[in-house]
Amino acid sequence: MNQRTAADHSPIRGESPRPVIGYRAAMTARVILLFIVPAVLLAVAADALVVWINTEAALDPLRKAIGLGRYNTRIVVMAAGLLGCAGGVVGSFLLLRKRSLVTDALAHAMLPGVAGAFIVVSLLHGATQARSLGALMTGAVIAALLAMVAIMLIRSQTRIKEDAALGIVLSVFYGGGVVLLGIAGRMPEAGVAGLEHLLLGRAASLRMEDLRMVAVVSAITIWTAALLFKEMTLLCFDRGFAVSQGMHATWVDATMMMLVIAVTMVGLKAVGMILIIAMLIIPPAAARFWTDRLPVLVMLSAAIGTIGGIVGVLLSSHYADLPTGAIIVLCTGGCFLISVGFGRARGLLPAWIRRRNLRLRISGQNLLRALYEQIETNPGRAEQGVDVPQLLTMRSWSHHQLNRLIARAQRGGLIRGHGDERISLTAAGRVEAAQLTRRHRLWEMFLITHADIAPSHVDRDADQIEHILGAEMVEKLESLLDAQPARPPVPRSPHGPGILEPDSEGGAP
Amino acid sequence: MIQWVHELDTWIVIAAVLSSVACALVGCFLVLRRLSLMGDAISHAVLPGLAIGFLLTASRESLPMFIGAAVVGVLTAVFTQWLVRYGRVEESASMGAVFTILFALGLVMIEQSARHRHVELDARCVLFGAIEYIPLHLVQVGPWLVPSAVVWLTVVLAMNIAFVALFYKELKICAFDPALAQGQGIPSQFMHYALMAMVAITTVASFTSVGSILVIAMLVVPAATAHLLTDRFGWMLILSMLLAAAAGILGHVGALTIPSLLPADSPAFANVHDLSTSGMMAVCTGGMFVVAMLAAPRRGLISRALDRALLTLRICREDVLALLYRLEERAESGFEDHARLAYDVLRKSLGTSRVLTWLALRGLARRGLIRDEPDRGWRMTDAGRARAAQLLQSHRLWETYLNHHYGLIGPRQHSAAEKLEHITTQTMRGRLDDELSRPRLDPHGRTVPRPDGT
Repeated sequence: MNQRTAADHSPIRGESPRPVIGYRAAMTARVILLFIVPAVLLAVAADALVVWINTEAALDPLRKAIGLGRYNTRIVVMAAGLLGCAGGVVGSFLLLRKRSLVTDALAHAMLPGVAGAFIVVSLLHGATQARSLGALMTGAVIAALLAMVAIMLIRSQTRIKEDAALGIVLSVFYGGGVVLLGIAGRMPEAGVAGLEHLLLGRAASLRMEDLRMVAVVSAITIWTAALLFKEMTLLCFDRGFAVSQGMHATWVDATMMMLVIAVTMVGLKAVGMILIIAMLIIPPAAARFWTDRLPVLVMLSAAIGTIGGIVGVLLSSHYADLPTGAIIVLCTGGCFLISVGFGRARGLLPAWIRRRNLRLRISGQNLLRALYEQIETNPGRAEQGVDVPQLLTMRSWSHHQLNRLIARAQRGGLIRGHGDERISLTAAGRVEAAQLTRRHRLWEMFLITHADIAPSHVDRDADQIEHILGAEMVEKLESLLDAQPARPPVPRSPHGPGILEPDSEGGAP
Repeated sequence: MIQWVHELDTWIVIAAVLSSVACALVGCFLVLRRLSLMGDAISHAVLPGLAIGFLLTASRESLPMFIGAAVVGVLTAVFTQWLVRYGRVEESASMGAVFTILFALGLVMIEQSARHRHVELDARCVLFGAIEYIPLHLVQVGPWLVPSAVVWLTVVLAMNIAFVALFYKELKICAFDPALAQGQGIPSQFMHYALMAMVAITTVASFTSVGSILVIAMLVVPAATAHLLTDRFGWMLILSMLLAAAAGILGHVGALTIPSLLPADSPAFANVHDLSTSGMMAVCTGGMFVVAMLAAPRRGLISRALDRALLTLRICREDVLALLYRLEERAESGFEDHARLAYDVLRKSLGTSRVLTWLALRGLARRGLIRDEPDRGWRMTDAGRARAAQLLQSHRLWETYLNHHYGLIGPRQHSAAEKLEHITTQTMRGRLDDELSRPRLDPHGRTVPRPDGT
């Protein structure tokens, strides 16, 4: 570890053809860092977890109030939280890889595996063995893998497209599962109740051993995602480039799908196979509304999944009859709706606010320029003020709109009212208006001189662009048009002397 | 073997056939428009609409239920579209988010209603369907007592057929080319949402028979199977309906008969008298799909493999002939002694597998193009020599052509000509010959044979 840091800061780094420290030492450091440290941390965390779950005496009233008073609930809450976290992490990559609904097919396809495993094991060892989690989960994974193969075969060997292939595999496997479940249900002393709960989830039936399994799978999943973060990112955004860089894209893809299958598998008991995909789809889709950066997306999505899982379980512990899966999904869905509404990056409300602000800014600027042009044609109005009805004719704005804009600009200190529907620019307003008009006219002149557009046609184009021209762009335009930046501050309008008297150039401060 | 109870099983089969045919008809458009997963989404998402309708009327088949489902079905499509457009969420993810939330909502509503009232709509019905109970709810239709589900399914099937018949042209254009449809003035958006509404209504009607998840099998699989079997749109519709009907019948028959195939002496299966009909229907459609995938007349894996094998064999036969011709040519110009051209010698020079070479030689001998002479091995007959000369003419003309026009030389020119010689017809050969003004020698200096006597 220390050696690595030393190597990183070595002055000859990048110049020496040979590695500064031995390859073996680097690898050892990496193995310690990547595998042993997390394993130790995980063990410590697991220990703390068990202690937390087993604590009865130290329960504070708050924990009791939110339903954590029962040992069982604490197990379920932990399991759902971990599951939501792992699902959120894997789901983020799944979302970006556009594979969200593959999970749906895989989860549904696990039914025949579970039911088949139940039948086989109970034929071989008796029904009590058959409900052991290991056997059922093995069956589920085998069925999911078969479903993957079937999807790939249909897609590559026939002209059936991906969507139909998913639909076919999902429904036919599920149908087979229903048939097998029917057989399993009629077997003596079978009691497939446990199996049917795998469809919609029944968190109350979670035991310590289930939690252990969820914890191990989640830890492996999150850690693998962290290790392969760079590879998976590359794969999601540009598979062709990833392959050209010598990455084994197929293997990374396969790893990703294995993680998905693992999370789905451990989620069956808590959420059920019909709705487990919600744990993989909804949190990242919700996080997508808040951020455009992948690491943030992954963490947010994990957080949303965790919160949804925990809140869902707490709620469903109060309504024991309701399927836990549905409640968890509804909680996560609530987070999703909030994100759709208020997400910073893409949410509807922030987007609406941004659009509204932009609209207001643009119309405010239009008002300033209109005033400026009025004053420009008749400098005397700088003192007396401009008639509002006169402004009304300059653009297609209603009297009401104009009044609101004027009120807004007055609040911003850009316009001063003279009473009697007369307004003029304040000093700050004049600076701003001059800059705007200057941008407008620079662009008009650019269009006339460099884009060969007739003077009568340039006004509308410039009208749109004046609001978004940056300082740098204005500088470039100046140098392009040989306009002196200092004096005159506003170039003459290209619309001819009919509009602008020659000596009105100095109208601006 | 089958214990067929007329009043029960006949109605079950009728309901199964009606629902699967109705699904298959709208399913064809879903498959062609690549909206199969929308069918998946809608079939999950109609649950809240269904639950509201059910809470209002406490009946599994009622007008409010259909209206609720149609509304929610269209809303699913609209919400998905919104998420894609305004939230820029990828389409399948937004579909997944919408339908899981709606499904969860519907599930909670159904469970709540099942708890507070004593009613027969519950999660089991959603998951597995309840086709076995259909004959229990009879209504009077004219002189007959008919299960209410059958009445509703008939109405929905008739609606589907009417919808497709009325808008056949529009639906067809929209299915294959929405942009063209828009250009022709067909309201493709409206057709899209109308289709979604039909899917939702059909889903609800089929809900009791196959359940909300297995309905996907009925929507997608017969249509996809028909798509493998035919290239004509009209045929696809008809075939998918026939396949769906067959799946309905086979599904129920299978559900009744398969248990008797289980080991009878095993105590584990002693109580298994029948299987889930809806599950078996889905399995039957899956079986049909696999059969079509393997054995479809033109696109099946078997016929494609057979085509490839026959092509390989023909090419190998032609290679054998060409080889024999070249050997004869060399022997004539005195390069080599007459060796005995046994099977092994030929196989080694061609580098082909044993079976293939053997089959090729047999095929050639049967056509009378070569014969096995006791001391000289395989030799061409006159007919064989004429055919071989044609091949060699094609080969050498192509080599000359490639050399003249593209400047290819050596192995690249040879391997290209080697492929082209197998697909060159007589007319093409004549035109090549004319184009190159009848060369006597090819770029390697070998004579171009003229078996056609030109």
